[in-house]
Amino acid sequence: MRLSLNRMRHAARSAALLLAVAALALAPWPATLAQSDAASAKPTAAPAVQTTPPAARSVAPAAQLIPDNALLVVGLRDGYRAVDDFRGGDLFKRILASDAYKSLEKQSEYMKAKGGLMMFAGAAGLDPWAAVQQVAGRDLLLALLPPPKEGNHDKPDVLIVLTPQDAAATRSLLNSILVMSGAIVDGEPVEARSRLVDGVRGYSISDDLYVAEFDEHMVFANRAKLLEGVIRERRSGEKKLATNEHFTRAARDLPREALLWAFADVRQFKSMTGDAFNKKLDNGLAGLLFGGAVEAFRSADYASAWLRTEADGVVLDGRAFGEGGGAEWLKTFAVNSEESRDWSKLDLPGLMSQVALARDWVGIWEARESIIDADGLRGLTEFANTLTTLMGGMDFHSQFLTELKPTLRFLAARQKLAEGAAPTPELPGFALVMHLKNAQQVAPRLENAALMTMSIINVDMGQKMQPQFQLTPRDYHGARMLVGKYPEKTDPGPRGIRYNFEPAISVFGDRFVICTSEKMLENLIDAVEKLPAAAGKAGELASDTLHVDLGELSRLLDANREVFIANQMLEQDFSRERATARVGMLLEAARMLGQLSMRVGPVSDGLNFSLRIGLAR
Amino acid sequence: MLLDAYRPGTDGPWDRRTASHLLRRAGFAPAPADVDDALKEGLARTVDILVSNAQDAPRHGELDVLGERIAAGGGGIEKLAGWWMQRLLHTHRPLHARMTLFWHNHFATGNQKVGSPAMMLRQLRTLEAHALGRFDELLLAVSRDPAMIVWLDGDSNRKGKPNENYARELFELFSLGPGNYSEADIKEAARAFSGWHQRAGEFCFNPVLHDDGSKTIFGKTGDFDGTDVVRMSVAHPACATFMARKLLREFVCEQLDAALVDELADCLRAEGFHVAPVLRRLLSSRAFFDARHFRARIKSPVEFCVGLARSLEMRAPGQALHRAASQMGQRLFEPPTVKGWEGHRRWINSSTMLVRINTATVASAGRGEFGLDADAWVARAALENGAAATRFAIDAMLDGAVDDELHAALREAEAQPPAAALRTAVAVIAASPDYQLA
Repeated sequence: MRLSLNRMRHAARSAALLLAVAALALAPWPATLAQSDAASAKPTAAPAVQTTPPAARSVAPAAQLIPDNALLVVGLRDGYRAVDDFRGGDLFKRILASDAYKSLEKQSEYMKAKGGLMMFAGAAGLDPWAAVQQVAGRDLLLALLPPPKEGNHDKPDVLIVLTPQDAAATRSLLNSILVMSGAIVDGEPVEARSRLVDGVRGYSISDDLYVAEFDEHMVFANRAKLLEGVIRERRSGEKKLATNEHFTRAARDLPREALLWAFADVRQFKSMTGDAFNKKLDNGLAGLLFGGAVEAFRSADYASAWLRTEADGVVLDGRAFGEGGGAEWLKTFAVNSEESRDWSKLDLPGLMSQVALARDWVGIWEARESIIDADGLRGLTEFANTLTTLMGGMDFHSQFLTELKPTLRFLAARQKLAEGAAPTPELPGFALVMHLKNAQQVAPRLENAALMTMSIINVDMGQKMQPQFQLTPRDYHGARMLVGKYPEKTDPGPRGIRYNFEPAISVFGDRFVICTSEKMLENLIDAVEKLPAAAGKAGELASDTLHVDLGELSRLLDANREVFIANQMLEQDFSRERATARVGMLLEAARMLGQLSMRVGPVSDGLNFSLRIGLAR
Repeated sequence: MLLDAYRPGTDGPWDRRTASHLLRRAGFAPAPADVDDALKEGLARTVDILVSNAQDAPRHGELDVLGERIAAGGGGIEKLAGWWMQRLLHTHRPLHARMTLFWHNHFATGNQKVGSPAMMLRQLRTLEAHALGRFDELLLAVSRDPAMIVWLDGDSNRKGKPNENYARELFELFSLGPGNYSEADIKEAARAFSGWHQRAGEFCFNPVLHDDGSKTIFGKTGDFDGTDVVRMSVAHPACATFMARKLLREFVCEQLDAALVDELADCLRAEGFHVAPVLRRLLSSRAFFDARHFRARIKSPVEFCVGLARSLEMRAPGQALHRAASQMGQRLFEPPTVKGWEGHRRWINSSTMLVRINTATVASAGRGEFGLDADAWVARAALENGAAATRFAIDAMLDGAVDDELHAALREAEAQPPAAALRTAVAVIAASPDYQLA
């Protein structure tokens, strides 16, 4: 009997969490999504970074119950309606009709979750969708609070405040959970599992989940004392999140259409995690590329983010800001470069992703000791010395970085390799594009460095009795190229030659390009020629951008289906049949997505970011 | 005679303890149902099944295909090692699998030098094909194996410039042992193997680079080639004794009785170095069931991990199993030297024991990558309380034998609900000194 009660409590707790997760997962997708035009096949411009969020909105009433020292608050507004919209929308129909959903339906985990949801909803006299709506409610706030000082706690407290849309239905659902968990027996609260606090009855659903209903709210907490404190302090307006200046500012700045939003007190995270948060980067190259952004985020005091929907996708906007707000580190970002072409219009065959970083390379090099730890600096010095040697003594800092224009681009594109040379796994081709201030002077040194590198690779491969690259200089549409190719009819043998890599470099215009295949380099030269003029404003701080064609990515994943199946068999001990079904489901889900664009940009008081995910046509 | 058949009822019992001893040594720690089957079949029939069973698990077909894909697809040696662990976990031919592991250590070849999972897989296939067959045929197959040729520099062994690496290890580590050959024998044998090369992962005899002149090996002179050297090595009086020692260390005990070595060497000769009948005799013998040899060998990391997972039917992806075994000091396809893993007492030190304890703790909690499904066992074995669950773990993992100290450590488990008790008991037992012994 004791065992079955324990199981019921466990089941009740699982159901409560399941309902919460289901609501959070489903709610942010309104019906309007699927009525929209489908995503463009070409990369769209990254969303503009908003320096000030539009259209103010009021602070959630539930914030009156949450202490003002919350580390993180996640809110869902009008979840009840969002669930309804989603259920009636075309997107939902698309999901139901998709192969991914058909595969999901065959997964035992899904069947169990669905069964559990139906059971608990049924016990409350609701259908499962109504149950999810009740959990989403009119207003839902989840707060992480610092671990309590008393006792031996090291994990944050969790407090959830739900303002129901339909109090009677939500109460019915809660009641069924309390009955299933054994907190209510024969309609009466079990004394050992409930307590009256200041006229409000709180219940224990399990050892780490407590609940009480009062003043139109249902409050869940992970500790009994936390819940008791909230009940006792419910009428006190002091030290509440609703009166926290930074929270109210962030909440007020939220756009009206924001569905899901979050606010984090970065200062508290920093004080809690101490050295871990403030640790310098241990990778020198990563520090050079991303150290400025990391430092800008570290020096922020607060962060907020909000999710909204657009006609053909969803957008997550966010910002990290503060009074000191990373002003030092803003210096490591570049102002808009003099790049004259609009690379967002790049029409490269099979283009999968494009990343552009804009940096003050000399500035960040000089600030490196503040960003990178001793190990990372050692690695960076080795890297710089190696490049200096390869470039025939051209000093990495004073002669190379000073010659670089701010923008650095990484491209990935589907590549077609020679007949019979298809590698497994099939990888995309990659290209690194650097823009040079004095290309004619610097390019020969870089070409020399590339030639030396390929020669060193050849020596190594020769020592291992493996085929070596044939180095061939040639011209392509006026651009000088140096290509390293395997001899024709090279037997790959069992040692597995990596056909994904046949290095090709070129200098054209102010660009120095390193590419992993000759064909991709030719395509890139052609595509750059056709780029329209850029419209960026010189002098503005430039943003980092990322574009990913998720459809192209999904095609690449599909081409490597067998690799993923093998991984599932090895890592999950799945049968081939089960692994095939699981991989098929994930690939089908990936096919529903279109374009992903992200932009991260510095502003005067911190960093802004914007992430947009579009749906496939 | 020490190799005379063990007669249950006369020489001793045929019970869970003896059946588990046989299954553990001739494979990996058995599941309770395997022990039940062995008790039902009897000793002779159980040994017969172990030695003769040619049918492997239904999943082996798809796993075989998976292995080829990993090797051909540049999946890397770590994945191939995980795949092998997965096959060990699911095999229905534990003795065959165990002998394949034995030969992998005997002919220790490392991918760090070979640099090709495909060639390592091919060698593994060779070891599997001959695992219970004739030793002379296996030795010849290994001598022509491309991975072995790369590993011991066969490609640079050519007429006029012999490379002695393979010939030296053939005598010292693979067939005779030190003291049974001369330096001159090595030099001459190296000439015999000249021109035995590999090209693109295939054996390739290059007659132009082969020294076809007269050689004198073990006092005999002739125009010998590699095949002759292998034949002469196996015919050498020391070979049977050398191999008898290695088999006894693997299956019986570390401290060898000279009379037992001689008997097994005679058996090897009598059976024409056919391993299956020799093992049938050894595993049915009074010497094998001698009480002194129970729990007298330290489990290798692979035995520990695969045995723990098999005996309690844990969720166990091969990759996770291999990661754990690697941390304990045994990375398949990467033996530390040409001598393989020294094993036995070398398997245990303060660091590797800590890894064994940690692995046992994580696995028993059922939260890691591989772990116990305690709830399923509680339902399946109808474990009504903590005491029953603890007893079940003792029976399954230690054949029901537990000393006072360990029993005291298990008292805490007995007081817990069944699933928690089972988890605690499995963790405590798997970390105990007794469980480290096979």
